[in-house]
Amino acid sequence: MVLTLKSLEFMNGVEAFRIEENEEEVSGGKVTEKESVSVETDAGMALMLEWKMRLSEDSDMCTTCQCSVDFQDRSAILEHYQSLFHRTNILRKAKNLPIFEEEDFDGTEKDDHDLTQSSQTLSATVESDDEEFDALLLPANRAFFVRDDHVFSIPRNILHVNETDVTNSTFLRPFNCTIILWNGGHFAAAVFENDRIAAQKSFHRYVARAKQGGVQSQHDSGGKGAAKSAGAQLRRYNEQKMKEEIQQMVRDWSQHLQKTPLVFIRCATYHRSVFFEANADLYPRDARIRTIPFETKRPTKDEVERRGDVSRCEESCHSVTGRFGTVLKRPEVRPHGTNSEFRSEMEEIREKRKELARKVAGRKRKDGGLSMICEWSDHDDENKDEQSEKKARKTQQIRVRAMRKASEDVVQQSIQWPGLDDEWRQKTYNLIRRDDATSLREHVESLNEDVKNEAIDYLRNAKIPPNRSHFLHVSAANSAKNCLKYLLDDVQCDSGAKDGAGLPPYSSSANAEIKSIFVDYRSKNDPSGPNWGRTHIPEPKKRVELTEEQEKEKAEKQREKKQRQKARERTKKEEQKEMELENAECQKYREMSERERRAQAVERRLAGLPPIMRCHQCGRQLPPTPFQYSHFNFCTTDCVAGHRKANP
Amino acid sequence: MALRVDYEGSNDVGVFCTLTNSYCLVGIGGTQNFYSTLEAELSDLIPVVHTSINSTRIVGRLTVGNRHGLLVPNATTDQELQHLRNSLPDEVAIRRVDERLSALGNVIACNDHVAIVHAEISAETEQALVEVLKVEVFRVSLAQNSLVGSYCTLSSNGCLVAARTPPETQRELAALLQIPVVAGTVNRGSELIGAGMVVNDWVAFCGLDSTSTELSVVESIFKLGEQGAPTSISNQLRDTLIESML
Repeated sequence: MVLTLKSLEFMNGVEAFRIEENEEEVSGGKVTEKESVSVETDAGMALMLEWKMRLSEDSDMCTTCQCSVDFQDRSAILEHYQSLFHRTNILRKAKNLPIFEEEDFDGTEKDDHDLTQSSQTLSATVESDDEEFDALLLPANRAFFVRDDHVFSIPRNILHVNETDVTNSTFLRPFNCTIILWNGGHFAAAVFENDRIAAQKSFHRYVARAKQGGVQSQHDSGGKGAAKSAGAQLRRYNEQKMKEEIQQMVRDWSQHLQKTPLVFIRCATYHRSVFFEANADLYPRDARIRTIPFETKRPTKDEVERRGDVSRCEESCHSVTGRFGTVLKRPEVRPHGTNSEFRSEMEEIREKRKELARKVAGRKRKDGGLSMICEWSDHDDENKDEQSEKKARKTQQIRVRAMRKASEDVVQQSIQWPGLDDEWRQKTYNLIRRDDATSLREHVESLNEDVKNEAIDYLRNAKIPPNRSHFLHVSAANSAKNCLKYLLDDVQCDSGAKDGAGLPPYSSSANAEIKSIFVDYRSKNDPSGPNWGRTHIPEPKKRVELTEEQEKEKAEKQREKKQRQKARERTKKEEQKEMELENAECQKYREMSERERRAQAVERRLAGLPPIMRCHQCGRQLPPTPFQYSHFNFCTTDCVAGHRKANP
Repeated sequence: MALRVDYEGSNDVGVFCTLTNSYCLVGIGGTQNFYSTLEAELSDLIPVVHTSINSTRIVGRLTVGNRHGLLVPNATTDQELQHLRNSLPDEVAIRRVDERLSALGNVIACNDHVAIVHAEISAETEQALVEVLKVEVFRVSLAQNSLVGSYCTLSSNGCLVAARTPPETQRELAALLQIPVVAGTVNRGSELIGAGMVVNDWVAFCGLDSTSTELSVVESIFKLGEQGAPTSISNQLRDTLIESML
């Protein structure tokens, strides 16, 4: 069976869940306990009746002041409607201001508070201390309570601000709250009062980027900067509008928001400030503001209502809200079996958690080294956990093996080449690092014959500790060209030797020069041989041998090319000369007066030369169809404009 | 009896006419049709007065009255006031009120005993209502509609309010007015009840577009046309039956 806040089971006999079962109290104070339960039930019934009364009184009320008026009593009606209180309120309502609340109403509120407080103190007296509460490791987000020796829980954040435990009144009062859901462009909000929707609003705006995800502002603030597309503008505008609309709504609802005991807000954290900036009695540190204690779907009105548990007056809700009539039947109350079952279960969980915590701590310690492992295994002995013990021993062994390997290398070297002392080795290493090939050669030559072979063998096979790399690796990594050449050509080191990471010397080359040395080495020594693959050295590029005829052809081609280039240069020079001449002519023409120009034209005609038509403005030769006005000719429209400007 | 009429093609008869139990005001228009219809119905019982208020014909929206008196806005000219004084019965008191919300018909709805008024009516107007119209005054709003005169009509028998008035407001009104209240429309779905019809204790005039359903609602809530109603048959026959039994 699905249990909700409105289930009849919780009408009475609800007690806060206690960790330690107090045997004495149960046996000794049986009578008193019974009494207290009956007192609580009576209080609960009274509370419920009061709420019922309030609901029925709703019909007899002044709709302006939201307060009850006895409509049977004419004088009471006159008194209220003529009162300053009513007049003030109706004026405020006309001006869309929040109405004042009558003192009477406050009084009933106070009474209500007293009742819940008394029942709270009742439960508080029998409640055990908090430390033991923690000892059971109960989930902090749920409030546990007992009824009929069965344990149930509800989300802790549906308790009111000053409530610490579940009491009967938790179930008897209507679930008054405000719920706000906002995700991307979807917004839905509703205020529930007396199990009815007092106000609701839901809308959608186009703000989320389709198929990309995220709202526009999110994208704008990202690395790429603000998008300029029409869609982006649209979304940006909509986002702004949406924010304004929501703030307006919150302002309109300020009257409801003042009264509502709980505010559930589900939205992105960066959106939260929107509600607080609306100047509507919502503050960031308001204890009434909660998150929704379960997963929600897309914010629509239906979803808001799914949240608000209104099953008690389901039918009236249907009629009031029409299409939003689906009512939350969310099982907010979770049953946990009988008291003893629940206790044993929690005990089990606690044990598991403790073990887990111990394991996590152990793993941390293991990283510390061998001694820590010993400690860990000691712990395991205590635990008598055989499996983990075995595992721990195994890791211990592996660790020891690895450490031994590192120290072994050094010892082995001294065994393998007994003729070479540490000083000689150190010097060799330094010479290679310094790329001093001649000194290195001398350093090796200076040894006598037997030891020399040993030294060459050492240069070929020695593994330098940090990365177990050979001398070839060292010289390649330090771009020691000369030493590398010496090692490859004279010592004949194996260019395929692998270091600790399994790479040949070629792969640890510092630059292209070193690589080319390796390639040269390959080209010198049987470049197409089968064993070059493991050295990673690439095949050298082939040089093609040319026949005599081909060489001749090539030379011919080159000569032709040169001649063509020379001719091009010559023509270029001639053109430049012509240009200069022309420019000089232009200059001259521009400087000439109109008379001189005409005289020149006549001269040319008399000389029998074809006339040269020049642009009146710039002096260049005219194209076949010039631009002309009156008797002026021009080469381009720019010249026309220039001339017109100069002679307006 | 509820009748359909139109004022020069307009359905909003309440705009051009004020109807009470002791007189009827009609705006001076281009034609006589409306006036004639009303006169035919009413002239043997109460005077039907042709008038203008502040030279406009929207007398229904500018004035408010009942059988005890008539309130006119401050803009009413002296001639108009004189004409009204001459035409109305002597027992009807007339007062010019200096009210900021000068369309009195829009902000006040009243019968012979009670008036419901807009929240921002001045205290002087309220005083005038009490003195001249002899009514109890309640400042209320009809949910989101604060123009009570436009959105409701009342007579001594009942009250018709706009269709979307919430039930709690209707209950509140019923308690204040001590008469049954019903939500409905006139003129084929218009929510402007006060502007769409006029009513007194025995006759109602609705716009020409009013459906028969709307008319039957009007007749039943204002208890008009007792003759035709099914209950009235038994009431009327009762005497005969009892007589025959004796």
